[in-house]
Amino acid sequence: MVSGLWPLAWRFMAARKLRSALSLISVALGVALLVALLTLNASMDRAVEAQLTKLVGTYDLMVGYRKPDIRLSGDDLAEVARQPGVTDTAGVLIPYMYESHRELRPDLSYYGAPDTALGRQFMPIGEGAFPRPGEAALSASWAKKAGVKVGDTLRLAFPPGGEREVRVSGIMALDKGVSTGIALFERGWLEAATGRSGATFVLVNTAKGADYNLIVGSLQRRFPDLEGDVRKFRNELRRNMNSLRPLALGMGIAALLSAGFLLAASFRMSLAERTRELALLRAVGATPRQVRRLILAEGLFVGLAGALAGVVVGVAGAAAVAGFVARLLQVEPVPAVVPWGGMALAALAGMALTLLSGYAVARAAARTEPLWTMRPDLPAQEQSARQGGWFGIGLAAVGAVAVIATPSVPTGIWGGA
Amino acid sequence: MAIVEVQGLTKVYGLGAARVEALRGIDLAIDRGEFVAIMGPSGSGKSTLLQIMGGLDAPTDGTVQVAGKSLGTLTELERTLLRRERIGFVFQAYNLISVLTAAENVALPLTLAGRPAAEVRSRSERALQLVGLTERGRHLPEELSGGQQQRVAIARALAAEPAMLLADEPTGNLDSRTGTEVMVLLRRSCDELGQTVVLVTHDPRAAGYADRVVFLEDGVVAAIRAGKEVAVHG
Repeated sequence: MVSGLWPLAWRFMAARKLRSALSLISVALGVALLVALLTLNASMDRAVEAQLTKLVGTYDLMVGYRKPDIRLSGDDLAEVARQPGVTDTAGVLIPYMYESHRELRPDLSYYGAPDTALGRQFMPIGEGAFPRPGEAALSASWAKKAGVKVGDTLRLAFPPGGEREVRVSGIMALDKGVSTGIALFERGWLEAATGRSGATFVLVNTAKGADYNLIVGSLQRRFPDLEGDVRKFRNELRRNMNSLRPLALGMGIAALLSAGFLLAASFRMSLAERTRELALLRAVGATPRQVRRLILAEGLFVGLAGALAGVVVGVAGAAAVAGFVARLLQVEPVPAVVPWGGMALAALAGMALTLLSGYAVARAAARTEPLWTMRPDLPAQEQSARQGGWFGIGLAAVGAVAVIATPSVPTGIWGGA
Repeated sequence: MAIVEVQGLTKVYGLGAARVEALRGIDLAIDRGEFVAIMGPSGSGKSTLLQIMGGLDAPTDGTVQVAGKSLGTLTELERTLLRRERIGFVFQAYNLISVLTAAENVALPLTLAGRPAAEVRSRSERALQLVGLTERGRHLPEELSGGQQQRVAIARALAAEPAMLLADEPTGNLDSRTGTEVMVLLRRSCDELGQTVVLVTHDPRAAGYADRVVFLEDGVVAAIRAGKEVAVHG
């Protein structure tokens, strides 16, 4: 025995298996694709970030001097570290910037970075290890040209002192677009070897969400000649790596639109089929509000079941999606990143889409005249149903726009730091 | 005491050349516990009269009072509540909800009224018992014969203990034996429960079960006779 609107709605929904299944599949399709899209997005973020970290390190920005005679002292570095929003710093020394010494190889520049977590991010090592005192890591193209490999020994000049033997500890992952070769040393050792102390520039990591430009501006007020680099190079790389994202989003939007069409069509047909039944409900005492709630309750059941099915299908496809992403981007496969929060949002969005599409139908249904029970010749609610269909299409379009906007919020990739 | 009072009732459909006067100044009073049949040829306005008395349609002019309430002054919601609480409907096409069992169909108006589950169950069981379908309560409409479906519809109409039961050609789709069963049932509800019944029919034999028969012709009351008289003379 049904004893309320909810059981009644359930019975109506369960009785129309084909129609309910069509609506459910529409919702599930939309949610599954949204979930796949979010998974794709999260996996892509992970893959791109992993690749970026490997190639160019993870520090957020770089500040320093482009003048030969100014360097940041230990106190200066401490002050940079104290700036609001700054979480970590690593001073890098370029001992011979703008200096000309006959003893130096013209095709090799020296850099000194501290052997800290952030210091090691300055020029990530692809093969071998970060240099210890008396060692150097070399840029790949220079090492190749010079025929040097990890473990070899080089004789390098350190004016005004003499030459020293250094062991090659590693080869860098990327040449970073510089024209000359790079030799990276442990900074303390390089300071001692060259007689030049301090840091030419500083790598800075910031708190999440911090405004890089604000931090640079703040530092420039304290150190007027300081210049800032908010890592355009890294962002350009990131942009290039994300070039496939619009394609993936486009596919998702197209699928979501299709799901919206299907859902609207299904609801529209359902209403046309049920005119007499709804009129009867009205005749035996259902208020317009009860009819509206009944239809919405059915929509909720369909939306809930569809959303759950969509999430299950989406999760099941996540690994395949992540593998697909890795192959497309030609990066090392990363584990599928299942964005649980995003999935919950996708499920809610699916339910909301169903309810909103159902709302147009529910409104039309609530206008059913009880008289139609006795006058079956009266016109059906085709016009209202048609309006409901357009409403559904409009909602799908709104949903699509939301999908475009959503991924850029948590990742910040599109905005570009 | 009149449960229904109709005064100067007029109903006009359409405009201009398409204008049709379905009812033209009908006056009618139906007492509590009375069984009234409305007869007349097609287009005489009998179904329109029933629909207006049941709050399904609005009059163009005139007044209709049901259980002391003037339908013309009620809002849509108030008319819905009046239908739910005070009026039971029986239709020619049975109009049962196909996905609900017989018992659930009977309980529907009570469910919509938000009555407590125990009350819904006891009242619908009593109504099914009254129409002799206690054993069929769990069956879907498609599993019942036409006569049984119409009895379920009558049980649904009676379950809410309405002030008035309106029946529109309830035997129209039934064979004569089953039609007789249905009419006996309606007569019993009147005699045993004091139920007011208003029946629209083409069938003189069905009208013969009524206390009074109102004949409509071209939207006006042409004659009023006793039910027994109609049954005898056909």
